[in-house]
Amino acid sequence: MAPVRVLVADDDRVVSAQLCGILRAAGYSPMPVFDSIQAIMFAMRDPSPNAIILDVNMPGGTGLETLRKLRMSAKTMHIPVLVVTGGTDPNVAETAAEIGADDFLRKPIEPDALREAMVKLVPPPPAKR
Amino acid sequence: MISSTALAPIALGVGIAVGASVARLAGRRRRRGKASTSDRLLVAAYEALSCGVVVRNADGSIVYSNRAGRDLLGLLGDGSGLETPGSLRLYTERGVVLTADEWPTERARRSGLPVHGELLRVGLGDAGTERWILADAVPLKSDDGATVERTVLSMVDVTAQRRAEQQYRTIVDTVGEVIYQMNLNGCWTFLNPAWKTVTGFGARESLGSESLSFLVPEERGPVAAQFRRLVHGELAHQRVEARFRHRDGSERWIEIHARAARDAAGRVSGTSGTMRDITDRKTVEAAERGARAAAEASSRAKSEFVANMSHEIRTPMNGVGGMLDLVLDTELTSEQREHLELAKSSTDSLLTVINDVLDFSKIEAGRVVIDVHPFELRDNLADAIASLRPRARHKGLELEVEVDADVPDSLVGDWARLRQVVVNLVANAIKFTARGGVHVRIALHAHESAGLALHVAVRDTGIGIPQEKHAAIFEAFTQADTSTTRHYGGTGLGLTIAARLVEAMGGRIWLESEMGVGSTFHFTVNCARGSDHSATRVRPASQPSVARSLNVLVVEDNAVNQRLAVGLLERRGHRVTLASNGRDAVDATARDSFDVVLMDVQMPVMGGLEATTLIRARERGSGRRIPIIAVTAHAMRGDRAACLEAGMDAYVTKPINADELFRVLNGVSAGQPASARSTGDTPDDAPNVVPVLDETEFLRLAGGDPALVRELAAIFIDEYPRLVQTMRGAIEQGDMAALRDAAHTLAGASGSIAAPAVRMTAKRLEGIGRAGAADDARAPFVLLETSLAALHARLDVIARRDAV
Repeated sequence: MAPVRVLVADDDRVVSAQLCGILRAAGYSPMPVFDSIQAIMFAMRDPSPNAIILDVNMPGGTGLETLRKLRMSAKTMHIPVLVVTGGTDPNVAETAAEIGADDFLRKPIEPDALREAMVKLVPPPPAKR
Repeated sequence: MISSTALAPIALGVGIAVGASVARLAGRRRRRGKASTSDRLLVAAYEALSCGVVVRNADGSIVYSNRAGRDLLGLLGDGSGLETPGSLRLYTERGVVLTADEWPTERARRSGLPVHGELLRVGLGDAGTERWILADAVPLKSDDGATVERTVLSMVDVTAQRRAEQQYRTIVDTVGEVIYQMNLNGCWTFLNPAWKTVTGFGARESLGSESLSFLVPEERGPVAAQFRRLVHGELAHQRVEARFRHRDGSERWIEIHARAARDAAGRVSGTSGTMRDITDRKTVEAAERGARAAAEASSRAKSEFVANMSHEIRTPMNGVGGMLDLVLDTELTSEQREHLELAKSSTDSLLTVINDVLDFSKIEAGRVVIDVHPFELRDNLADAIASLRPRARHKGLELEVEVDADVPDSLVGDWARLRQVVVNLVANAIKFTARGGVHVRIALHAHESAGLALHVAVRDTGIGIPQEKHAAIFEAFTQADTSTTRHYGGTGLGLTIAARLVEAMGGRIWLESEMGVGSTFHFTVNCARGSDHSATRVRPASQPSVARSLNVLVVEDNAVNQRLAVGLLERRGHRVTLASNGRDAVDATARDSFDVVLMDVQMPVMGGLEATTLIRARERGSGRRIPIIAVTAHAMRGDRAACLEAGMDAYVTKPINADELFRVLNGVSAGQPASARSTGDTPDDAPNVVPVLDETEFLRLAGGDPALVRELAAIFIDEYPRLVQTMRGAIEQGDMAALRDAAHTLAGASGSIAAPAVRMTAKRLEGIGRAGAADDARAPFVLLETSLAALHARLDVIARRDAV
């Protein structure tokens, strides 16, 4: 069974480790990156990730800019993206959806909500026996 | 690397020349059987060549070889009867043996075209004698050009270069430092294997990538700028320390030594140099900084504790003082009066000492907040000095005050702090002067359109201070001599406090002194010019009492404070009703009508804020509004805002000071809200009810995985010092955007591990970073460090917990 790879782009190493930990437990193969440029670099690389989690506030360009770029490239436009934010701006969800985010979560990340959102984007591979 | 393109034309040229002359030689030999002198000269010349030359017939037999050629191929015999030894093998660069058909001469013969610049290895069966050659083969065609009669092989021995190259390659491959080259676009063109060790990224996969993308984003701009200077020839060499992002996500400190690289024409083609991981060194440095910061934080925490004790100590002391005042106001025998006055002066000096210690600890805790307001200099100064006149008179000293005419009267600054420094210096001068007097002069130090600086000089005719003590005198716990402490008393903190306050107001303090003649303390403070309008607004009422008799409701649960308030008010002719909590106050105001309510904020049953809200709700629509004055325990900024929000009109601070109370009463009863400023406590918003860490929630956020909890705890411990460092720097430099970003990250991280105390303060700092001043951030930052220290201890335990 091929691994389901999730690119996790968040500059906060604690949040990144939390996201990756929960994803790993749910059967995904998370790949952490820590800024927008690396996010784009790894999203373009072969094989493409099966899903991407993007933080809104990241150095090197915001997650929303990154999302815009991902949506413009034929290679990455189809990859489902979950946007997360620690900010309080009430309009982020709407803006993210307009740019093409598939789902949206606020921090701190609730494990259940994350798993639910991820299953909708791309189901994890069946658990190994 | 050996440049085969550079050597090949030479070898080829020699090959063609040799081929042609050998052909000529062979032809002559056939015709005449004897070589001419010039032919012999030619042969001698070939023999002398270091380049090996071999001429072969179409059938592969050797017609001619010079000495170098014979040596290289180990040819047997001499002159024309040469044979190749059976052990002779030619190999490709990679060690694949060439068959007879694959020899360059054979290929040149078959194709009729020259072969050139082939790097080959020559083996003679003994590994030690293997040579590297750069070979050319030239076909020699028959006169009609139809067939190739002979081939000429020329060989350059490149074994030495090859060995040197191998040696360099071994060094480049095994050295611990990264060796790199990049082009003008900043893309890697060469990286040795150390690159992978240092960054986790493979050298090959990184080639062609933009070098800056491996840096953490904040570093990219500055590093790019440094490399531009190199490429533009502004600098010959650069040493840069920058943070790279390792493939595993961690940050690594890397030291880069770079020079401009040039192409053959001398044009800059990029940069090259070395990089090495200096994370360990940086970690040690950071740990040292962290330890220092922790020590400072702990010292601040202690000072914080003392500062927090402030009202706990002052409240009873003021109670005693206030009660003594009340008794002294009654009829007493002269003996009683004398005793009580002694008790009163003892209380006052004890309060002074306590205030010194508390002020000092507050300054040490970094809790001094400079509060800027408009004030009138001359009146206020006269008031402040008036309080010191009895002391001067008592010692028979003159006390003069002089303000230069060009000093404006309306100023904006922290008068309370300025007053504290002046009073401190004057009191000090009086203390150490036995004869003569004390002279205070205020002059304009400097002025610009934006603001001005005052120069205050306090001169005495006292004992003087020896030169060698001048520097130490502003340090904590110092008097000119420890014996002076015994002789003159005091805490020795007065000048330290004055110096720190002056610093906080953006000024400096210094001293001129001559033993036996006297001392002059100078200091400067920054102020702004005030408008007359704003100055009069906060000018303290000079009338110490309210014009008419008021019906006052005092809401206070503490019996001593009740008595004090009642005493003060009744002596001024006001009528007082008592309520001991908010609930009673709400009932009392419903029942009777009062001119004003003095409302304690913290009370059992119902607090002052709630009571005020209820009273205001009831008043709504009635057209009435009873003035309510808050009585707050520590004059916190948050309290102040909360009081006004709840609908109170003004506030006074506990313990109640008569002047302050009547000033506010005056304002309120005259229908204008007034507020008294506290000269005591600074804001204190310790979120002591907010938990440091909610472990249950933490486990839930980690998806119920204890291993992830441990991992997150360890990462947090690893990460936060950097953020704190960034925030401290940002506050010092007033870089609010940096403060906002670091605080945002910390808020996010602490949210993910369910650390509410740190998260709350970080959020507040983020807010200040978004719309606030660096000075506002200082108090919350101290708080943040305290909470983080507590959190660190908790997380440390969790991170070390063994896996079950």
